[in-house]
Amino acid sequence: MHIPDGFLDQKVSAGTAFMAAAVLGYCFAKVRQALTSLVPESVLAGAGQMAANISESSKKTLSTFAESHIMKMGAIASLIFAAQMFNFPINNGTSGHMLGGILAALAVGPFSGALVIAAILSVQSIFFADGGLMALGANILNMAVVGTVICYYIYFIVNRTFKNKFGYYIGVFFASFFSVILASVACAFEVAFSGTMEFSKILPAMASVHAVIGIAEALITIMAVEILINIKFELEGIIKDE
Amino acid sequence: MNKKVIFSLILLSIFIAFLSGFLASSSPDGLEKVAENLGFSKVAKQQSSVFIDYNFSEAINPAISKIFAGIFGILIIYFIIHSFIHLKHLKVIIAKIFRIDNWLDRKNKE
Repeated sequence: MHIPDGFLDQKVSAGTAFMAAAVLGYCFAKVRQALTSLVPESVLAGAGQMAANISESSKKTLSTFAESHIMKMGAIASLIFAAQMFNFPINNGTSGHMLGGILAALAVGPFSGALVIAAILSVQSIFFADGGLMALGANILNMAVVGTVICYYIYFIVNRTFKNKFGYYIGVFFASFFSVILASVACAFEVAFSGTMEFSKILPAMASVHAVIGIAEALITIMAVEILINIKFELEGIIKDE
Repeated sequence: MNKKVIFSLILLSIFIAFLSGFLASSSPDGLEKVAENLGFSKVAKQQSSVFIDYNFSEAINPAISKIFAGIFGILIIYFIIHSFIHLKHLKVIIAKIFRIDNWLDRKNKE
C-alpha cells in the first residue's frame, strides 16, 4: 500500500513526515544505545596523557554483538525487499504483496525492525518510484511505525497471556494480520484527511481488500519465521520462555 | 551467528527476486485498486526515478529487467544497512559537518 504522490495534501504530508521522523529518531537512539558501550577504563589508561584529549563521543564503541546484529538487519532487509516485489494475485483482479513489519520485528526487535522497514521504503521511493517522495513520511508512519512497532506489541501481549507454543503462533498470526489492516486503516485516514476521498467510502474498501492480504501476510510470516529458525538465525524479537 | 547465514539469506532473497520476475502478478495492488474503484486514481502523479516500476531497462525482456532491478535493490539495501556499523561515529560526523565539534567537547567536559 505505497501511497503515491498526489493522494495527500501538504499539511498531511508534512504532519506525517514530522511524526515519522520523531519516532524513527527515537528508534535510532534506542538501537544506538543498545549497540554501543563505553570503552573500558583499562584501555583508556594505556593512552596515558592522551586520554584526556579524547572527546566523550569518541569514548563509545560498538559492543561485540553489534556487528552481527547489523548484518542480520541487512540480511532481513534484503529478504523483505525481495518479498515485497513478489505480488501474489487475490480476488477481483487485485494483487497484494508482503509488508514484512512483523517479520522484521521478530527477527531483530521492534526498534531495529522499524529502521529496516523505513530503509526499504526510502530505497523503494528513491530508486523504484514505488511510493511518492512527498508521501514517504506517511508511508513510513503507516508501515514502519504502525505496522511494525505498534503491532509487535499485539504479539507481545498475546504471547504473555498464553505462554506456550499455541500463544506464539496465535500471536504471530494476529500481529501480522493486524499489521496490514491497521496500516491500511492509517492510510485511509491520511487520504481522507487530505480531502481526496470521503472517509466513509475509503475505510471499508481499504479494510476489506487488506483483510485478504493480511491473512496471506500472516501465513507467509509464520512460514518465514520457521525457515529462519531452521537455518539457525537467532531471532531477537521472539520472547523466550522463562 | 555466522556469515554463512547472512550470505544464504541474501542468496535466498536474490532467488525470490528471480522468481518474482517470472511469477509476480502485474494486477494493481490493494490501494491502487481501491483508488480505481472509487475514481481517484487519476490524482496520482508518476514521479521520475531510476528504475520506474522495477524496470531495469526498456530494451530487454521485462522479466529479466525486473530481476536485474531486484538484485540492484537487494544489494543497495544491504549496503545501506551495513553502513550502520559506523553509527558509533555518527555524533562525531554530524558535529564535523555542522562545525560544532569543539563546542560539543567543551559541553561534555563541564
